Amino acid sequence: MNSKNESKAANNKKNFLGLYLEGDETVYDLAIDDDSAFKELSEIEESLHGAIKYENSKYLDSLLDEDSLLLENLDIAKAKSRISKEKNKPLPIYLQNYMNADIASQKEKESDKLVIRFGKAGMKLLGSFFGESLITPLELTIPSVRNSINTVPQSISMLEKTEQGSLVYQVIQENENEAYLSVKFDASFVAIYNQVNLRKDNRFIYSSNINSEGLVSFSGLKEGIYNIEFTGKNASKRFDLSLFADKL
Amino acid sequence: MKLSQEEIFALVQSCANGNADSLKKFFEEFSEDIYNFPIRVFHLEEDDASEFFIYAYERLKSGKRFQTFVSKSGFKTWLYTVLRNMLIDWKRNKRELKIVSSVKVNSDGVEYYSIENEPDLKSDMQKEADSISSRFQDALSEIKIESRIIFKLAYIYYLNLNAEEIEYLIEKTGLSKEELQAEIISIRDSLSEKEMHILESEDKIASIYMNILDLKQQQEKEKPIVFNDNLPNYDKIQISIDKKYEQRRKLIEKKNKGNFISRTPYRVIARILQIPEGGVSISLQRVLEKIQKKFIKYEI
Repeated sequence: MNSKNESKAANNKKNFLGLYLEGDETVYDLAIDDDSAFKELSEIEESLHGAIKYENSKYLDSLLDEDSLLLENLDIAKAKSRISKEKNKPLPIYLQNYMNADIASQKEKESDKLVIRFGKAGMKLLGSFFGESLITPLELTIPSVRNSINTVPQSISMLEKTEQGSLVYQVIQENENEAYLSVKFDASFVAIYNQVNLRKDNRFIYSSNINSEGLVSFSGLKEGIYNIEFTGKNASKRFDLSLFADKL
Repeated sequence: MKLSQEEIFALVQSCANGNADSLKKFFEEFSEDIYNFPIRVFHLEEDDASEFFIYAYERLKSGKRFQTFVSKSGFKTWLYTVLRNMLIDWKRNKRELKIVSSVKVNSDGVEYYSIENEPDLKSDMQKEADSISSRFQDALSEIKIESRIIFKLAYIYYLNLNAEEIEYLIEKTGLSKEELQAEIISIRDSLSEKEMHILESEDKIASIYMNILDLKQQQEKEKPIVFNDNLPNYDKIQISIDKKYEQRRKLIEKKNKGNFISRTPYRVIARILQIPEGGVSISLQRVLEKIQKKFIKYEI
């Protein structure tokens, strides 16, 4: 009896999948009326979207090792048919703001910079541009942040290695509109730099001494471009922190 | 404002000379195309597309890249080729950038460096998450090539063939590389002629399932975490997953229900592979069942 039921269930399942693949809209009517049909529909759709997502990621990875003119031609043709003003997704406002701010700053020389988006969806490192230095994302465990109501990432940490030594930058989302920045120098830097100046959108806003442990922090940072400059008797080092709020 | 070919050529030339106003105009006109390139061609998520956008912007803004433009290749061909190369570079950089574990912070917010007496759970979890991802990525490779090709051709609008699959197709069908390329482009073109509201629904539904997949991956990572002061994150993720399913249910109830994953008609696949339509249907069903098993194993 059990095996009969199992085989009936298997047949129904096959029929449902068959109907879905045929493009028969009755599967959606069934899904509205019946929870198990909704579950089945979700599983099919999820499997398809998952397969598309992972296959595409695998394809992009494969291009790092093996590319060809045929694959390039197919991708370019795909772009031509799928990208147009009518079909495009709009550019997020924070990216527009990033470009506007960057164009307005008109710097002669590019600074080292971290570009971070924050907001309801958590923090996202959009870019780190540190010239010749090696900059690496760090994995930090911060119970106080993990304790938050959100499950989204709320802290970003980067390690910069230079010839003089290394620095750890950490940016924490304090709330939807504000972030906290701390910079930790290793011992070799403490001897070189003793003061830090903070500017926002080219205006001086704060100056502080670097403590003996080589730790500097700023809280309440709102959206904008911050320039952080470390100075000592014979040296100076600066970087830009671009913070953009994603107002969902 | 739509620019003529001549205006675009003049704009690109001026950008190549580093003219700030022209570069500003270029980004006003084409930043949306740059942002959409990884989404529409490689189906990257919007977060990753944003990251790529900044990467591409930083490399285009000096104007030097524009010097590679040769007018006979056509502007769009040039732009998409540049973006494709940049996307591969961006991906390579990301692969080479390994996350390192260093300073840690205890429950009082104090940093400490010693990790000898504490197993590094997060690294293990990262490995576990990677293995889940690779298990999914292997889902199709475990399927026989003839069935895999039927699946890929059915969803060729989104998927790409690899070198082995192209070789197999050329041998099986007798088509030349150029003929195969034309065949795939023609299928994709005919599937892409969709109305705007259909595209919007497709985007909406894809985004729901991408979120669900991400949340499930996150949920898998959360399982072994034990923090004394930790709220039950695992449960919160489940609530978010349930909300996403509810969104899908509402879309169906709103009669916004159609199948928003474009599939190549069976007859087209049957013609290319010179097999009966029924054979295509049965193979496709079997492949999808196998893929589903992979996902159900992961308790979806």
